[in-house]
Formats: sequence, C-alpha cells, structure tokens
Amino acid sequence: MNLAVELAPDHKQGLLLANPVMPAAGSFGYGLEYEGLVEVERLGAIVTTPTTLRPQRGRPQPRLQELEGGLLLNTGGQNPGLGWVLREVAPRWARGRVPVILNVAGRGPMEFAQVARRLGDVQGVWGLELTLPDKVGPSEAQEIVAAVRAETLLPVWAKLPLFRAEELAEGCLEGGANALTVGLPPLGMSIDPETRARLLGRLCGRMVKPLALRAVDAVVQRVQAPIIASGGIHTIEDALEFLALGASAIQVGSATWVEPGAMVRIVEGIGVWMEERGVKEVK
Amino acid sequence: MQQFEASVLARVTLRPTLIHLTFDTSTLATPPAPGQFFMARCEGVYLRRPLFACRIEPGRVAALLPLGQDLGLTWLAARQVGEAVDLIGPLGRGFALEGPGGNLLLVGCGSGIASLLPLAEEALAGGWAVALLAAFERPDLAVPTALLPPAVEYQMALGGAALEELELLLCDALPWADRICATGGENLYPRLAAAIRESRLGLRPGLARVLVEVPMGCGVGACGVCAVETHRGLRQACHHGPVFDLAELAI
Repeated sequence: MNLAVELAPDHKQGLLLANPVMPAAGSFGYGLEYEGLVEVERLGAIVTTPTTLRPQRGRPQPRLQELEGGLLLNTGGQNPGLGWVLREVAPRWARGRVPVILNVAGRGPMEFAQVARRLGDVQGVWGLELTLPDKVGPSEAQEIVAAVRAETLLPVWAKLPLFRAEELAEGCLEGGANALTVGLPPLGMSIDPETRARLLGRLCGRMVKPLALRAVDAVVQRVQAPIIASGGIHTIEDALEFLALGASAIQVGSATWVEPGAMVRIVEGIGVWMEERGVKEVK
Repeated sequence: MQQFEASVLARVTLRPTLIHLTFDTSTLATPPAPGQFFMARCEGVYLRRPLFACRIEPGRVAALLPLGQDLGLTWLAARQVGEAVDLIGPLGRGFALEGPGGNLLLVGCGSGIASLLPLAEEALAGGWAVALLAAFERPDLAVPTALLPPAVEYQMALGGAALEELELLLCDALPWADRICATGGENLYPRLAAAIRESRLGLRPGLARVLVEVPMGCGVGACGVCAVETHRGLRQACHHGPVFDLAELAI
C-alpha cells in the first residue's frame, strides 16, 4: 500500500508527498504552532498561512462569527511578511522532513513575482501555493502564475476561488502551475441587527463541503493536473469523497481547530480504507 | 500544552445560573498559571470554548460556568460527575507576580472575574495583601464571596451603573496598590487606564496587567482570529496573551 502522491508530476524535480493530507492555508500557522498537539511529521505537507511580501496588520476585531457548522472569518490578511518568515521560520523548516509549501498572497503579478524572486536560495521551502485574489480574471490569473513561474524553479500550485475554480483552472495551468488547489473559501456576510455592524469574511467549516465537492468535480473533469481539494473536510469519509472524485490530495482547515488530531486521523483512515479494499495506490 | 480528557470530579450549583465544575487534571504535565486557559470541546457549537480556572490545586482545576449565555458553556456546565471533557491546555501567558509581596489590587467585571481568583490565592501565599473590586450588572452574575479567600478585601458594585461606581472605588484604591491585575474587557480597560494615569501620574509598564477576552479560533496562535491592538503592533491573545500589560494595549 502506497500513500505517496506526486503533486508536481510535470516538474523537473517533482513534489512527492508521503501522503495526501495537509493543512489548508491559514489554519495551521507556519507549522510550528501545533507542535506538541499534532504529529506534524505524519502529514503529507505543511501549507503555511498566506504570506505577503511585506507585513500586513490585518483588520480590527471582530474577525470571527461562529455559525452553525462553521464560521465566518476575516483576519484582513494579517501576516508577519516574507522577510520575517524567511528569517525566523524557514531555518526551522529546513531541519524538518515534512515538505513546506509557502502560501503566497498578493494583489497582482508583480507582487507575487517579487515573493518568488526572494525565495531563490532559501532552504526549507519545497513549493509555493498562490492564493489568487477573489476578483481575478482568467488572463490575470494566468499572468500571476506565469510571473511566479518566471522567477522560481520551485513547484507552484494555484489556489482558486471556489466559485470560479472551473473558469480559472486552464489559465493557471497554461501559466505554469503544477497543480491546482480547489479552493479558496467563498465569501459570506453577517450583520448585527442592532448595531448593523457587518462582517464580510470567508465561510469555513462543514457547510462548505458540498460547494467544494461540486467545484472539485468540475475542475477534475476539465483539466489534466493534480487537484488538491479544500473545503469542509473534517473526517476520513469527507476525504475519501474528494479522493473518489479524482482529487489527488486534500487539505484540512478549521477542523484542526476543533480537533487537532483530525489530519493524522484522516491519514490513518485512508490507509485502513485502502488496506481493507486491497487498493495499492491513492490515485 | 497537551490535549487530554478531564473527568468532572465535582459539580456544584452555586445559583440557578452559575455552576462550579471541578476537573481532574492529574494527567497534566504542567498545571496552569492564573490567567492561562484551556480550549474545551463542547457539543452543539462548532468551535472550542476558552475555559479559565477559578481555582487551581494539585491535580485539579475548577471553573465557573454561567448558564444561558453561550450554548457551548451551557453544555459544559451540564456535565455531571464522572463525565469527561476534551481539553487542550494550558494555553497562553497568564498573570505573573514578580518581586516581593506588596499590595495587589484585583479589578474586574462580569463572569470573567473568576480567572482572578487563583491569582488571589497565589498572591496571598506569596505574602501579598489583596483587594478585589468588582462590577456586575445583576446580583445573580456576581462571584459568590464564598469562593474568595477570607483574607481578600472584596468590594462589589452592582446594577446598570456598576462600572461608574467601580471607577469611584478605583479612585480610593489605586494609591494603595503596588500592582494591579484586571479582567473585564473593552468597557473596563480604558476607564482603568485613565484612572491610573490620574491617580499615579502616568501608566508605567509593569504596574497593571489585564486579561483580554476576545473570540478565539484555534487557541494556539495559528489562525489569527484573536488579534489584540498593542503599541507594538497586533498580538494574538491566545499566544502572546491573554494577559497583557495595560500600558502596552492600544486603547
């Protein structure tokens, strides 16, 4: 039984993960925060918090609205910036065995490319996942990926907004993406009827799974590339549903906040499922 | 920090809306410090709930749980003796009383004041004199005096104008205090900071520490939900706090 998955098959060096389970960007910090609670070395990869070229303060409170079966979240993109990450965290990644995928956020091709340029000789980063802006069109999405591709030899994944994944997928692959993550959680809103204060944020949690299943299915049907599914995955059964659709790997988001052991449990569950059915490869 | 199953050792109904639960924490490698917290998994809600100790003893931790305010905490409060609760902790940075004993003024409003109680115990054991000023909207929300060590001087302000009354109490007590520790949130801290500035001719770092209560996602500093504005930029309450120097907060 082989849990390993190749998530950059057309890349010169490839990006072979020991198993198809990893955190979704923004849910697991920089991979160090959960040390002691999560057996990080048993994950297929670590995907970092979306990181920008320069530090971002994010938005003031409120940032969270809990919902039935999930939450609405908006940190305003708070992150310490690339310089801090490379200085303070990357050396620790370089000593680890689990591939680290740096999630990059930005406003346009230039900003994404600048991040990629600074990663030239950095040890500890195995690949990039690009969080595409919500309003990006197919041509700009392609430009962003191509701009990054021109600056780095690392494998590149493009993370597509869930509701626009099908529309953007081909352009990203033409731009040079080695795999696609589907996808960036959809936007939602809450309002306090008394104060009329609004929170516009991303919908996370179980409620997103049916939306993600539909988006992953559409993209799998449309392109020939590894698809990393993300959205509402909490259990082994959830993960198996996405793998059955044709996803090559899965990401776990807010489920880790609820149950830190969720990802490792899913890795184990996929193994048991394969063994019981005599399945040799995840694919 | 560790994740563990904590059995309920005792459950006492202090009032119809206030439950005192004692958990078995004997499997914990490190006991919590006052102001540190646990993230408790609760049925009926999605996210874990922060749980602050109102009493810390070897191998056991107690918490005060209000009924009817939050679905998660209400579920937690309904646990019976022998039932187990999934906890992660201890988390964050709590109160620290450095230096020789002196006069410790505790200030708080609302049910969060329970997290000051173990600090009072620790301070008394360390030779501090302790006074507690508290404000509650209603008598049924007040922390019962029976939970306080007898050596603590306890003054309470009640009703809709409790915060204003607390400010008056502060004017009297602040010149006495060598150290101030508080819980109570965004309504209290600007008033506390203003009162200290007036009474002590400024708010110097190290004088007052406050516990900042903001909604939390993960509890370990990974999600960015519980950001707190400080003069050194945004900090995560769950990781850098929840106890901050009042002089550091941007209020």
